Amino acid sequence: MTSKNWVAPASIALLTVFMLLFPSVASGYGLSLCITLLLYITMAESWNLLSGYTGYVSFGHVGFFGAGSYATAILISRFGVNWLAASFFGATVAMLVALLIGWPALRLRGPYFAIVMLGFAGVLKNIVILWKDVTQGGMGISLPPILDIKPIYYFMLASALGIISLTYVISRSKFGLRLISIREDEDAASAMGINVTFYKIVTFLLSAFFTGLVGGAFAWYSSYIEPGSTFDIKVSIELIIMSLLGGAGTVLGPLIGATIIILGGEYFWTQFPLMHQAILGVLIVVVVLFLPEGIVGFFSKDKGAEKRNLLVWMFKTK
Amino acid sequence: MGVTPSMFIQSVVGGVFTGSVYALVALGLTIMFGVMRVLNLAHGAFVMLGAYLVFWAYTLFHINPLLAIVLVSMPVLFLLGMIIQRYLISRLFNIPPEDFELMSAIFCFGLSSLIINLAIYFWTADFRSVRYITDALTIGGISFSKIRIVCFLIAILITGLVAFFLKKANLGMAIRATSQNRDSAEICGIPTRKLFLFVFGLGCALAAAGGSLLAIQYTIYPQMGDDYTTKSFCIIILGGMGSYLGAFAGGIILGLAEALSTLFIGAKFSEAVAFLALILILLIKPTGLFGEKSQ
Repeated sequence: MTSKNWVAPASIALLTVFMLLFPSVASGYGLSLCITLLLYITMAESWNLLSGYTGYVSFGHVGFFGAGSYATAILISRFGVNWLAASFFGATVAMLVALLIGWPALRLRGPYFAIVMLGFAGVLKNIVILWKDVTQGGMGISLPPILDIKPIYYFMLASALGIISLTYVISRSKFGLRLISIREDEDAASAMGINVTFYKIVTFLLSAFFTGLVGGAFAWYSSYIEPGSTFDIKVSIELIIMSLLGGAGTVLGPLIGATIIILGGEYFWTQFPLMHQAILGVLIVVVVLFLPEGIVGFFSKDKGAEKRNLLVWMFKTK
Repeated sequence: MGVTPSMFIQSVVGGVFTGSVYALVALGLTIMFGVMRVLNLAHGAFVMLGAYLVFWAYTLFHINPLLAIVLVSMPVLFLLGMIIQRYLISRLFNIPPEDFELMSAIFCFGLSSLIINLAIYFWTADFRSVRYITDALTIGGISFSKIRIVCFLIAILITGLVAFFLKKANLGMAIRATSQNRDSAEICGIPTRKLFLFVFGLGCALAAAGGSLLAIQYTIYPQMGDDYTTKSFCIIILGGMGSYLGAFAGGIILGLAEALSTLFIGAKFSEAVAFLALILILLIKPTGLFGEKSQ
């Protein structure tokens, strides 16, 4: 993508201007849909920063979302803290949780890590259900209803921009190069003198921070959270499919993937509400089989893996 | 608290009973991983399918549930596994080996989501159960449910047969050879692609057998498999990925650990036991209890 360095920042800048002006023209429905979209963009980009760049695929990112949500909700409901401050507290808690799980889990190679993260989200959900004194268990936590959702919109927008710019900066820095070297060959990276553990943990924490941050804001936005929907494994699936569809390990990929899934889904899921997850499952299967590099990878010129190209595959004879 | 000796014995026996089903399911998973390097996150979905097949065979056609395990659920899942391997998983072999395990995991994750949600769509999310032999057996003042004893024996029997098959039969030896070194196995003339068909079918059939035993003992529902995916992976990591003895021992250990933690700490904590055991073992011995040095 060296020749197209300007494409990503330019389109994002254009989009940003539009997004900044959006609340003044949008309906309430449009605004809430956009909040969902930005929430998912932020989370998918966070997932991508970790999994797309280092190759450590997390099946439990919803755990950080849930940790952020719960920490924020508890702080607001018990201590009446301002939601903005509470969200940052939630993000910090998500980071601490990430440190606790990342310390053992990141020592494991790819597949082991994936499975540990899958279990991690489940265990976190159980802890929240059981720790009734603090989390009110399965009853969930109610927060005061909010009247104006514009601040949340801008908060989500800022988070999405934050993680996208961070990913952009990282992807063009030595830091990013080291992450990719970990993905491509961790032993070689380590032998070259890269402190792989340090880079993995820092990326993991950054990823958890942003996921927890929007998790906190989402708790305030939705006014009520309970373990089942807050730690829904569906969210982890969605993050993976968004990033894969758009192109994991690229800056724009998750943004594109999340937009397609959320906006396309908004129409589609209402037609087939029960088939939502089944269709997501089909999407994952299809993308892995036919589009493993994602949309961005499919359109970028400088890639060697032509045999994984959809068109080539379709017209190739055995 | 007051944990009496009879409660303790009952708990240990119950733990071994549960563990035998875990071992059966995990054995299928570890064979698949060992031979094909596929991280089958859809394993729990196959467990669920096996359970539902026995349920429907019993409810619709009044087939004895114990017979249905061998006549319906295992053969059907064996075929389904072969079809999935032939038409879906085999396409993944184009992916470079270093990406293969993770891509297979993501792929199976999607597959699992598809299967489970189709099950919810067609069979609803209701809890169902097969009512079969509901009385109990009392030995020395401690009572055991008869059906759980029967299920334990069946689980041990199937595990034993598979172990014997892997150890002695030609095909079993081919499976072990391929799992040790795929390239050498190919050089020696083992048709690994055809073997994969059998291995994926066998793995699915073992998952189905485990699911069938669950359907006979407990209630079943479409999402029941999710737990079993995570637990089976905990077990095979605990025992060492690809190790058959490890899968068996890991299953029994997990069953015992869950039962004892339920007895001493409380029922809901038992769900986290598998995970905590996994983290612990990975910190102490990353290759698992019976794992080889490195992969």
